Parts: sequence; C-alpha cells; structure tokens
Amino acid sequence: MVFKLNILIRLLVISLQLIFLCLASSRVHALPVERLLEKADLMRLSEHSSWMALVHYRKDTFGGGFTSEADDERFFLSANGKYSPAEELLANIRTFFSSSEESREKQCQFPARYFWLKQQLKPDVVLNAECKETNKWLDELEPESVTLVFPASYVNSPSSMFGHTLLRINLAGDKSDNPLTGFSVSYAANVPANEIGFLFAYRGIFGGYEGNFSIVPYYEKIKEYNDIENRDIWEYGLNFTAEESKQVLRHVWELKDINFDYFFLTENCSYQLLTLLEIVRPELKLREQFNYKAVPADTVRSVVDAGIIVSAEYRPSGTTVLLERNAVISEHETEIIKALIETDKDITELTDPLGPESRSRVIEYAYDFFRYKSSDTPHLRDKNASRSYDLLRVRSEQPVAANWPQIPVPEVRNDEGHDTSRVAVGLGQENALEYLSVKIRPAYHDVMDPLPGYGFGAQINFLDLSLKYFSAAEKLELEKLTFINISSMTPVSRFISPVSWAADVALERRKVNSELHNLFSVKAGGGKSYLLADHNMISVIAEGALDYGNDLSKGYSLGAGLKAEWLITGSSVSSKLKLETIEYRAGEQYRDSVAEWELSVHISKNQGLRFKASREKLSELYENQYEIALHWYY
Amino acid sequence: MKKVILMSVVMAASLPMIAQADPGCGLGAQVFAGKDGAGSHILAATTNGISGNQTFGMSSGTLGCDTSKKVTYAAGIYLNSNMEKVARGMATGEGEALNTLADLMGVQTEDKAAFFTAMQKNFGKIFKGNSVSAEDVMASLKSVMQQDSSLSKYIS
Repeated sequence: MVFKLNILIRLLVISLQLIFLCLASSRVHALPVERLLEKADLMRLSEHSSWMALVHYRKDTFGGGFTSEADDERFFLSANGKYSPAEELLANIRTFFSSSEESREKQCQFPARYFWLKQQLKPDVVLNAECKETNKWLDELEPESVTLVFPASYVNSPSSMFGHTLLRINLAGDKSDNPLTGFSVSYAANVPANEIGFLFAYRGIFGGYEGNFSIVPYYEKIKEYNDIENRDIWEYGLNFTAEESKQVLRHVWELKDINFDYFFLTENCSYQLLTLLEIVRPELKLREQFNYKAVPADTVRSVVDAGIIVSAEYRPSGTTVLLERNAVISEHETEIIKALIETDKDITELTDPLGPESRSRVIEYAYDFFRYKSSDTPHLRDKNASRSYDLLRVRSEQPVAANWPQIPVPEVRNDEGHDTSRVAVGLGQENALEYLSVKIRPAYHDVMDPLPGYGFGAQINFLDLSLKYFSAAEKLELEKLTFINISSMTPVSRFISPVSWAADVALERRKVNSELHNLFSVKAGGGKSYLLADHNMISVIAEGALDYGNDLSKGYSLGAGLKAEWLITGSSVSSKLKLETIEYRAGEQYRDSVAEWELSVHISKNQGLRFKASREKLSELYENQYEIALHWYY
Repeated sequence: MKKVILMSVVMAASLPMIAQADPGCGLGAQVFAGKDGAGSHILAATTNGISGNQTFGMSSGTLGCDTSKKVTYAAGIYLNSNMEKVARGMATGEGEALNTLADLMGVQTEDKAAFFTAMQKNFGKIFKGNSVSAEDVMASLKSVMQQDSSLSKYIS
C-alpha cells in the first residue's frame, strides 16, 4: 500500500514537473509580436525623438506629459494615442506586425511609421503588405531632395504680412534640375468660402479652423505666390539625402486628410513644416524654439541656424521684375510702351523704328505691364485679351532676344534681417516731467528698424506695449498698447500708382481737453507716396479716427485729418519726420496736431539707438516730448 | 471686437487679385483668363487658407470638361494650368514656362534649342487666337513637333 502511494506521488511530481516545463518553454518561444514589444520597451522607443515627430507629440508645459498636435482620431491606433506615446507605440507595433487584415491596411496608411519601426526593431520575420495605392504615389514622386520655400511677405495685404513657408519635394531623374516639376507640401487652414472678416480673424487666432496638409505641383504655388500675389520667393535647398527625402514623403502620405487645428500665432503653416524635418533629423529640435509665436521668417532662421541649408535661390516676383526692368528702359521706349498699352495703334507700326533688341524689350515690357494692369479692369477682359494676343503674335515674329539684365539678388535675404522680437529701454521728458520708458514688441518690423531683409515703407507692429514710469510722481503709466499697426507705403512710379495705406488699433493715454484719458483708438487712412530719391519718400495720407473712452463726452470721439511723413532709410541712420492733424468733430470735440521727428541709429543688425522729439497740440495745450532709447532685437 | 472689424475692412481694401485656385472646366478655353475679383481670397493667406480643392492633386486629372477622359500626361495638365505663361514663353522663344513644358514632354537637352525655335516660329499656328482650349493647343503643338526633323521622335 505504502509502496503504491510512493509511486503515485512520484508520478504526480513528474507530471507537475512536465507541466511546468511546458509552461516554461512556451515563455521562451514567445509570439514574435511580444518579442518586438519587449525590445521596444528595452530600447525606450516611445521616448525616441523620431517617434515624437512621427506622431507630432509635444511636451506639455505643465505635468510632464505629452500631447499630439494632431486633432484627428484617425491618426492614432490606440484609444489614448493623443496623450500617450507609449500606448500608441504598443498599438502600432501590435497592428503592423501581426498578420491580420488590419495590419495590411495600417501598413499602407502609415508607411513612414512602419518603415521606421522595421529599421529600429529589425524583426526576424516581416510580412509586407502590397500597398498598391501608397507605392504608386511614392513611386510617382520618387524624391531626390527637399527644399524649404519662403514666399516673403506681401505687405500690401495684411493677411499675407508675415509670409509663408512650404516644402518642395524635388523629383529624381532627368527633371531634377527644373524646380517647376517638383511638388509642394504645405499646411493651411480650411476656411469656408464666404467667411466674414472678424470671424475669420477670431477663428484663425483661436484654433477655430481645421487645417490639413496638401501636395500640389510646385508651379501652382509659383502662380499663387509669385505671379498673383507678387511675392518674392526664396528657395533654400536642404542637405537631406534621397533616403531621408523619401521618409519625409512617406510621412506626408500619413498626413493625408488628417486634421490639425490651425492657430495663426503658433501652430501655423511654418510651424507644422518643422515636424516634417524633425522626422528624419530628430536632433534638430526645431519645434521647441517656438512656444508663443511662430513667425515664418523665424522658422526659416531656425533651419538656417541648424546648418542644414546647402543653397539659397532668389525668385523675384512679377512686380519686382517690372520695377527692375523699369530702370533699364529709355524715355523713348517708355513712350512707345505707353502707346502700345493705352492706344489701339498698330503694334508693328509703333515698334518698327526701333532696333531689334529694343523692339523685343518694348513689346515684352508692354505685355507684362499690360497683364499686370488688366487685373484691375475685369470688365475689359475681352478687349485686353485681344490686344495681349496681338502683342505676343508680333513678338513671336521677332527672333532676336530682349536680353534683359539679370534681376539683382538682394544682398540680405528675408531671413537675415533683424530678429522679430524687440525690447527698448529709454529716458525721456514729457513737458519737463522725466520718465523711464520700457517698450516690448513680439513682432514684427517698423520703418525705423534696420531695413535689410524687409520691404521699404512697410511696417507691421503687433502687440507693441509702451510703458512710462514718471520718476517725480513715482507713477507707472500705460503709454500705449498697440494691438496692430500696419502701414504700407508703396511709391508711385512711371507706370503704377498704388495706394499707400495705414491702420492702427490701440489702447492709449491721451490728454483730451486738459484731462487724461485712456482711449481705445482706431485709425485708418489712405493716400499716395512719392520717391524723392533712393529710399527717400514722402507720403501723404488722409485718415479717419474713432476713439472710445468712458470719460469722453458721449463716450466717443470721431474725426478726420491728414498726415504727411518723410521717410529716409539708410544703412547706418534712418529718419522720419511726421506732421499730423486730426479734427474730432463728433462726440468729444477737439483737435490733435503733432509734429514729430525720429532718428534711428543702426548700431548693428540687432541693436539700435533711437531719438525722438515731438511737439503736440491738443486743443489749446502744447505737449513737448523728448526721448532717447536703446533698442534690442532678439 | 472693434479691432477685428477694422481688420476686415482693412483686408478688404487691400486685396490681391487672385485667380481661382483650380482652372476647372471651361476656363482652359481662355488663354488670357485674367484674374477674377477677390471674394473669398481675402482669406487666402493669413491662414494661407484654401477653398478646399487642393488635396493630394497629382500628375493625373482631367483636361477640359470631359470628366471621362482621364489624362495622366503631365504636360497637358501643366499647359492647362499655365496657358498664359506658356503662350508668353512661346512668343519669346525662351523662359522657364517653355522650358518646363519641354521637360514635361520629355524633350532632351540637346533638342531644346530646336524646340524653342519651332515653338516661336509657329506661335500663330499653336495659339490661333486668344480663345483656344488647352486640348487644341496641345494638338497643334504636337503637329508642329511632328513636322520637325529633330522633334518628331517625341511624338509617338
């Protein structure tokens, strides 16, 4: 009996051991996916900068967590993917490396992630899905390199004032030396067709629009920015290899139709491109530099500073070309051009007396300028089309080339100007009361700032804060908070007579009828500017002004007036003389006249010294002010 | 609030004239389509907004109004979208637009001079008037190339 019990126990122990052995061996021969997950965990792959870029994660300001900038559940394979790089990584590995229908679908939808994970994890067995659509697209756009494109600001339009950036994928093969055969990748907000002005501004700033990435032939962008919007374009070739460019392209496919909430100040067109660059160059850490604002020129600067630029090409706009060529044509040629454009006289008769090269130039200039002007007269489209055609037909009968001189490339690029943030500290006197002044402005450029890299006569001040501390009274005053101040002074020339205009919206302190008021003030005006010499211009603007203030009689003031400005900008010194008078006729009534002179000494690209002297007459009181301030740009 | 009303006034007053983003059906018939009024294009660039059309538009699309005729010929698409620039290029016998057309038609570097000359000489045949469709221009262009000894090899 005892003997049999021993055998029974022995058998039991052996079977238990066998069972344990089986269990143990199934641990050793784990499922391949599980091994990959373990490997990813060991490598801490979810913390890798490339993973962060691929899923557009950004570190939270508070809390130490991460949030993806994508606002679209289709971009994540895990439920909490938007907030958890680790969970998202697990879900991606599980999905890609299992052999399911979903695996095939997701491999094709996320080719960049799949490619990167394969590269990092080096799995033993890989089941690549066929991905017909993805691969056809990738093959058609087989890239060779990537270019960062920067259409400079077009100051005549406030909505284009800060410029724009996009990427260009350059195709491999024979066409690689012609940029027009490339494709552009850009991010933009989806704005409904008839959005009202103020709603547009509000939603644009506060994330009210969804944005997407799109890819179109580069020549379409040239049309849009270079020709139509008349913006000069800078093209920066990047040192990305063909392999790296392909990975960027794979990621662009992943971004198809994915929504990212658009924020004009931060997550805008130029910011979003930085993520695309970080995918293949995670060490660049470009996005980190942009927390509160992302001005396109600044994003270009960060790329240049990262040292990844190999070339910078200048592409002048249609207007720039016309203006430059204007300087080359003679008085006699100008007369003929005028006749070609303004009359119906026979083209051949008008141009016959000219030499062959001159003839070609005159017809080409007339044609180009005529097309430029025709945009203002859509009702004459047919008549203009007919004349345009005739000009081209006559030109085609002339084999001699026009031989225009090359358009000069600006010495200073649009990314090489002064930095966009500015702070100033100074001392001054207001009617014999001394004060200390502090000014701070996050963006962008005024006419007294150093000009190189910016447009002459163009000014945009955004959230410009000016404070004064009066030493005797020990009082800190808000002098002015400018929400937005734009002025676009484009001089009249032989052929074009553009409108110069200015607008200003601010909160300011003003002495009205002997009382100090804090006013919400709005000013807008239009007029003309005239060049006296190079970078020497006089502008005359008629303006209207509307102020709101609790203590104003009837709570407001409405008036109109005139302003004249004489601006001279130079490489070491700039000067501006302003004469302005506004007559407030409704609400609180008074007259505000001022004569002001500003002198700016350009110490270096990012430093300046400014002198200001002004005499203002408000009703019957005179106010004299003198100030000297040191300016820093950063 | 008031500031943004002003902004919209200011923006409206300073609009760049922008043509419609996509040539679409029928516009290819006008060489000098010109630039339409502003409208929604006020919005074109702060947000660099697009009125929805541009997606992952590729080298394929439709030429003209017949949506059943899918054209994958990049040169045709390019021509349709850049009629005026190509016309100007042909009239002068040089320039980026004409060169791009040559590239998209596969013309090799050594034959480009012949291409430019042939296009300029035959401008009147290729662009018969100011109102021609991209299809007609392409057809005339091809027949000109056919008759040129060094260019006929590009027309299959």
